[in-house]
Amino acid sequence: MLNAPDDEIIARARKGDRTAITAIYEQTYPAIYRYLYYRLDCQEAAEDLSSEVYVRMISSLDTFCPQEVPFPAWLFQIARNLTIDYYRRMQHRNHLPLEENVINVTQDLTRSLDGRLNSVVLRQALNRISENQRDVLVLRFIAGMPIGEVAQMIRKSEDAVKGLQRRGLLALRSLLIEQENHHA
Amino acid sequence: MPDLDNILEEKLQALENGAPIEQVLASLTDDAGELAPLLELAATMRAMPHPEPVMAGVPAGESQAHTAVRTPARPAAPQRRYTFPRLQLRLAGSIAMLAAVVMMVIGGLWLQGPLTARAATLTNINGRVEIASSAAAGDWRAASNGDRVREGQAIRTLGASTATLVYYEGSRTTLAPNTLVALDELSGKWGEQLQVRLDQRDGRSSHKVIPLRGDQSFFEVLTPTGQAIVHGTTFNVVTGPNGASRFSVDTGKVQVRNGSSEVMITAGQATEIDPNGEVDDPSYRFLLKGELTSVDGSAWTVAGVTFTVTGETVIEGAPGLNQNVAVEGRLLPDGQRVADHIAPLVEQELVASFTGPVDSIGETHWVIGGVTVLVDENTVFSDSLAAGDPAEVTFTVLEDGSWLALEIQPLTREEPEPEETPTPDPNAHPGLSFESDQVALTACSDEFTVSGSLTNTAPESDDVAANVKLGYSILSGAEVIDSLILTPDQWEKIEMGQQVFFDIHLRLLPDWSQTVDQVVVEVFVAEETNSPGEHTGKLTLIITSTCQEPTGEPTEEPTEEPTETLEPSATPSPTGEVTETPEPTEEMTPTVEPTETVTPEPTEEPEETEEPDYCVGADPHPVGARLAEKYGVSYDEIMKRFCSGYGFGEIDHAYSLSLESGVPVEEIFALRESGLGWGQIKKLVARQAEEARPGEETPEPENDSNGKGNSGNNGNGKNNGNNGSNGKNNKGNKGKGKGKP
Repeated sequence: MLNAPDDEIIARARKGDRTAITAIYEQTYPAIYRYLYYRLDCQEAAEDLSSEVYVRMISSLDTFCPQEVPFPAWLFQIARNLTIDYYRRMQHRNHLPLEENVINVTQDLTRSLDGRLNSVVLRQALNRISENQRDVLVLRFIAGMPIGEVAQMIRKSEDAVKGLQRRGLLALRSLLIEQENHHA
Repeated sequence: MPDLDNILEEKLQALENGAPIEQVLASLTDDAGELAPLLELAATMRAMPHPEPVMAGVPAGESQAHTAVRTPARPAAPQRRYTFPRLQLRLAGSIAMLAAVVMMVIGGLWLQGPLTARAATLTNINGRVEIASSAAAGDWRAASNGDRVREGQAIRTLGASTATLVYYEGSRTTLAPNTLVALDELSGKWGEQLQVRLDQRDGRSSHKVIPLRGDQSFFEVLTPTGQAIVHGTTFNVVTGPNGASRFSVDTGKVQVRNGSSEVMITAGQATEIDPNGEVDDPSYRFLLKGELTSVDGSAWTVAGVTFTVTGETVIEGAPGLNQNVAVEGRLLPDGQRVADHIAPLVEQELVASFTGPVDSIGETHWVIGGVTVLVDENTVFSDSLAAGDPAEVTFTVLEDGSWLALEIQPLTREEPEPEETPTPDPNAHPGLSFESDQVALTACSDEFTVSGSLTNTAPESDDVAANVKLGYSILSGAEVIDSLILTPDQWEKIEMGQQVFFDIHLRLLPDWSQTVDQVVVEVFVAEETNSPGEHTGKLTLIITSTCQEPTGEPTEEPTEEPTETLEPSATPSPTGEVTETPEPTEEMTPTVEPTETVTPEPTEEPEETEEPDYCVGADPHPVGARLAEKYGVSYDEIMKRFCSGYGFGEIDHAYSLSLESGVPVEEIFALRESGLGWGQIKKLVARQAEEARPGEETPEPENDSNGKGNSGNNGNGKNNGNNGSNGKNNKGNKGKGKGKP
């Protein structure tokens, strides 16, 4: 979950206060990195883009309007835009997602995955679901963002996000079980 | 029916608020029980350790928040270590300065640059492409789309194979068949600075370099005799068989040098470094796509234009008379046209063009690069052109041998717009499948045209497949494949239930069977916007040699029936049983062996002959029957087109275009026979359809819609593939509105 900097720190950062910028970086970098780690399937790219987020943040701080969007959502939006740019540049076919509701109905969805899930396995599965589903799941369960902010960020209604959330979890679970069976 | 989406969110919020998972699960009603595993998964995701960047090296006494950052659980994934030295900003006035300093701070990455810059991504692989740890190592392995290629590694494309390397900031290198490059240097610096040095040992490459940023960027291509240095341009490099290197530029500028010799070539220009390292002065380029009508020693004629073939000319395959070829070359200062590269051409736009500075502009003719071209009311040109400007001329050759300009455009065009990424339609879930997943042929000839089809089997009308593009892999026999072209190979959309057809034109090297017993090619859906990665079906084409040892006596009848036989493919049924496909869709291309010596006499126009019945193959032909049903026309009508030389893919394309635009299909075929490419035809009929919309005046039909002396055959069995226009396109077909003032 992202440690949201308080308003005073953000205001100082907007004026170019070096200590405030450092504090924001320290507080938010891990969450931004985690988001990119799961959003991309290349760890190197996640590291690069994490750095790039803060370059963009600094150059755009003067346009940030706290009345319109919470700071964490604004920062994640920068990260999300960078991922979109990244894929657009790469046109990396392997990264393109499956469509929604990729579920093999013959699989036993009641099986427990506890104890067998790690970040590598999760990232592999996340990279096989649709882009919107992935965004919603990563923002909700990795970044800990409320559903309203997720909706604002991906420009969809809250109801649509709830649908993406449920279908995304279904698809993800199906893929995790499939991966597990494959490696069994 | 419970609102599962809302119930799930409600329970997730309960978890967020600290409720134990057991309690939340217990609160689920029976009809929402399916949410239990989803809640468990969500809870697991939240609770599991996630990767954290390690900020080592931070001095003691840093902020509380920072300390917290330094002590997360270690992730399962391998981690890179960062250092986070104390920020020592002296002045926080400038945001730009801060950006640079923070970049330096983040893990000391400033010095090493972006990690992604140190690898390029292989995409758009067609055929067989291989990677080795170095050019010398020889440990070649098959590459696949998405593979990352790093500094020191080498890539090669085999016959009929191509690939594109995408660098981290979006620049691209496309490798033509039979090309070998080594990535001597691949790195970058922050700010999208790219550092690339390619060593091209063999073949042809094209480069689209995004304007380089910063003073540390460079993009260089080394060849055995020279070096090209660019700063944002589109250019091409050819390494010739004798070590000569050729460089040409589409947009921008390229500095070409060898030792102390150096020239700058600009858009439309080319130069050569000969095997001795001599750098030629820049010259302008010409491009011809048309029928090879004469070979007289070193003087060849294509599309009515004669040029010189030298020992340095790279000739792919063994082009014969009446065959369509693409020729790239240079106009030397003495007016001589020298071919640099000649390649077989299947199903491409037939054009002739050259570049040069505008010498003079007249009412009836222009002089460009010392060449006089006629202009008429249909010639399209830019008003901005003036004497001295470099220009590109697309022309046609008239009966008297003079050149009539179809289009004259300035060469100082801007960099091409980046391709837009199509947006997927979230409501469309298309399913594309090949009707037959295997075609097996036993054959001895070296040229084939096989028809295939692709169907969108999705159940809902919204399930449209968009921007569909086919690709192919060569599983076996790449070394004997001269060319492999799919026509058409892309469709803007395929509706639910729609079936589209395509042709696989495959040309093998002569005597291929002495090298391999079998050629195996897989055709697949390489791109589709709405369900990318979902279309896993393939059409496998297997060609097995039946060639006999030569008996010594040549066959007297050149039109004798071919020795090939068709074997119905064995296709597993959905139930797992193997059933015979009752009617093979493939169509063989009987091939007359190429003439050993070619004569310089001009080729006579072929006389009209009765349609031979052997063009049909199976009777009724299953693909022909399906197309007739699809478009509500008679089977005979389809087969007449087929027997006149069109492939089923082209026929499907023409009728589909006719349906979309309302333009009669006869007109579309007439345009095709005039030599226009399908892309041009599509634009033209779209314009006609727009002009003919109700309420608008219907334009007068053009009288001169037919080209001169073309055969329009595009490959299904009688004429080795694709005897199209001889390049004598009539200007009227271009349909371009802007005339001479």
